[in-house]
Amino acid sequence: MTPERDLKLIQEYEPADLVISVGSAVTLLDINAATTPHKQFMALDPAVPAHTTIGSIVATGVAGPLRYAHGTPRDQVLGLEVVTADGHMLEFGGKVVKNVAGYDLVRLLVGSRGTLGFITRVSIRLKPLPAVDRTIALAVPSFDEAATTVAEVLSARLDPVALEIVSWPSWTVLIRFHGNEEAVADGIRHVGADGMQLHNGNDVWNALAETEARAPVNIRLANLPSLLRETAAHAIRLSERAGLERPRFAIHAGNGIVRMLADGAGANTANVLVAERALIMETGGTLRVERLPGAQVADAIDAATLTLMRRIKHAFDPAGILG
Amino acid sequence: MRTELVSELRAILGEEGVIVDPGRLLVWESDGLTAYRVTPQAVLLPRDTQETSRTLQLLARDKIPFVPRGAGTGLSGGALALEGSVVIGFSRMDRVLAVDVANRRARVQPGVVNSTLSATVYPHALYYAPDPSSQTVCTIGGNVAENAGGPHCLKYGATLNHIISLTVVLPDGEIVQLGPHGGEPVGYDLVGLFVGSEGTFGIATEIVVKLTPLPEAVETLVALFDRIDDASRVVSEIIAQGMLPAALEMVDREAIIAVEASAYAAGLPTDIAGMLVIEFDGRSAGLSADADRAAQICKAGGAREVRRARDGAERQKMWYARKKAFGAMGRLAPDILVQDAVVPRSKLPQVLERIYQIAAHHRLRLCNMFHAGDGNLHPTIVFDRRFPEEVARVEAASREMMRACVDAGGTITGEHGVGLDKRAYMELVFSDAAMEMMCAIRGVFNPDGRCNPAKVLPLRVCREWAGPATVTHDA
Repeated sequence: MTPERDLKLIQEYEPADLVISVGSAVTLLDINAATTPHKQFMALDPAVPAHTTIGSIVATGVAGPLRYAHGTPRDQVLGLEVVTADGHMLEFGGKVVKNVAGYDLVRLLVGSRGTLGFITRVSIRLKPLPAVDRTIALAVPSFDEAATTVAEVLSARLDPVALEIVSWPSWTVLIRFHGNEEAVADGIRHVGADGMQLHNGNDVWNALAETEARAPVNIRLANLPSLLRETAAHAIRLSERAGLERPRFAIHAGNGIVRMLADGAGANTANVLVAERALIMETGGTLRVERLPGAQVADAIDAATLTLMRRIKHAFDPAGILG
Repeated sequence: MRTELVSELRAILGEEGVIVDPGRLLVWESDGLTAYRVTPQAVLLPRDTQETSRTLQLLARDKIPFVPRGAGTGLSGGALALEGSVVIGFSRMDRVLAVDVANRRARVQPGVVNSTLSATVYPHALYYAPDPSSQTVCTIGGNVAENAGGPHCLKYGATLNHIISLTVVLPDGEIVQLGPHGGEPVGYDLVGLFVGSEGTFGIATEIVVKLTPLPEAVETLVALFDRIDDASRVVSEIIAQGMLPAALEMVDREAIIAVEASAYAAGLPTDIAGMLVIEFDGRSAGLSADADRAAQICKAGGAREVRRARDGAERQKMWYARKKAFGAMGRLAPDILVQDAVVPRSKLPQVLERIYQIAAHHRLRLCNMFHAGDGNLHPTIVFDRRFPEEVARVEAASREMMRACVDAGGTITGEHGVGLDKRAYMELVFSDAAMEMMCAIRGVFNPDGRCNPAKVLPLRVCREWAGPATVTHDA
């Protein structure tokens, strides 16, 4: 096997370009291990096991708390190589950060969950590691207090790179700052709450990601950030109605996304979720079932859009071989 | 166009919405790719989604091709009315429909001018971040079609990163919603696919855009260099040292000379080889430190002088030197060819040198003004198209420059689009199989090829394409 065909290899990394090209079997951990010595990183922190491959992350389009400042794989992938159902190897996009050549099939393939082809290679953009990386953990008495704190951070325009609310061990607001010494100190001073704890680097975030990754049940509710209180309230009621075991909540507060995590579900959970989803969609939001043992709940998509998606799928996989 | 069809269209769009008078149609014969001129058979001006849908249904019935057109500032011939196309214009769809301050988004019609959108939301301390140099004229609809860039895309991303959802009228008149309302995107990223599809998939009649908080502070620097090589190495060094400015632009001597002779003169010396415009924005705490560091890197890298804007007026003058340079080219010669190639940043010094060599070899006058921070070059050749021999040299030089950029690991267009202009170069970056897949995807939205025909994909690739529609004209 030639080096270019080895999916486990880092193919090309020129730090001056802030781009890395890797085989799709390379893991998140490997990428950051290669880029850290050059003071760079890939700004993606999805809640997945550390040995998850970049191919899997790009195919599922998952993202973590850093999405608030840096977006999702959709915003980070510059190019990819894909093998289609009939064995063609196609390359789309490139290795450069500005690219409008042809139609953007890279965006189509990111998040396509293996239904259009098997991704073999990815070129992804990198960011400079910040000089300072500090996180405030602020314990609050209730979700309501957490939401108020978040609203204050947003209106003060403190520019955090991540802004999360978690419900365990008790309600906590996490605010992450990247920047030079002066900028970060200023952000922390503005939050200036009594009893806040300061953490460096990834510690707090790795723990959060691990808990989320291990939860057998993972359901996502999302709506406009201004509706965060309503979305969270809905999620809390839903967790009771759906009979979830030991429900916990992790919230991308700046993006309006509530993740409901649980150790187990009831026999009727899937039905309850489908019914609730209809209600949420009426308010313009979404409910997606990431993981639910013993049940598969497909996404809800309107008929016209579904038709377009089916035709796209047919273009890539006429025989319907891939999922 | 058949008289009956004109009447049917007037019934939907009103008298002013249907232009068939040949004298008036001349206005739409060309876009920013001025070497090409084609007068459309008609120009139609809908007022909303419904009128657009009904119009396209009639055109579909009569198998008439059409091309959506914003302000016509595009540089790749994307708005050129080929194959007997009718132009669909959006001068009557120029309203900001809704602004949602809390959620930092706005819903706009495609004819809204880019800088007008920012001005409209300015009172809420928000703005629309993608800032093509033509922003005082170009429209959001056009920006979506081309996935337009601009100097601040280095930090904020291109149009693609600022579009949340779209109402699209397909070529057969069907209306579809792409992208989520309030929740997460579900299924394939059709918004991502539509942005940058150059008006060949349908027409976006309502666009929900992301708005960005106005930065608390801005620091703008101009660094003057005696050697162009030093300037491009400093660009790499700034990135390598972990700084990502909001903008990092380069302008060379030829361009500076043109600007300094124009109404936008910024008091720049005309004996420098080139200059960098560097901008940082964000919270004011720590911003000066970043600007200081960048200034140090410039000085250490050979800058003759580094100037810092002390206020908004000075900042604007510095930006004029970059943003108006393109317009100032008109002083040098009647015609202009702007390339839009991209290379990895690390290859900038060697590719720039190669480009100057190519221009010299073909005895052509060349300027460079471009987005150095993301390796997006705009080598600009000024010439006179009345001299065919000169045109031949321009075309030869253009091809060689494109090849040099692709060979260096880059691509053929960073923000201006393929349009008509770069169809022939697509094979430099895509295999036939990849282009056939693009053809198939286009076929999902535009099955009979009537939506902006003969753009983006080389004609030989889409074998199933049936050919130009039959069009009848009145005598």
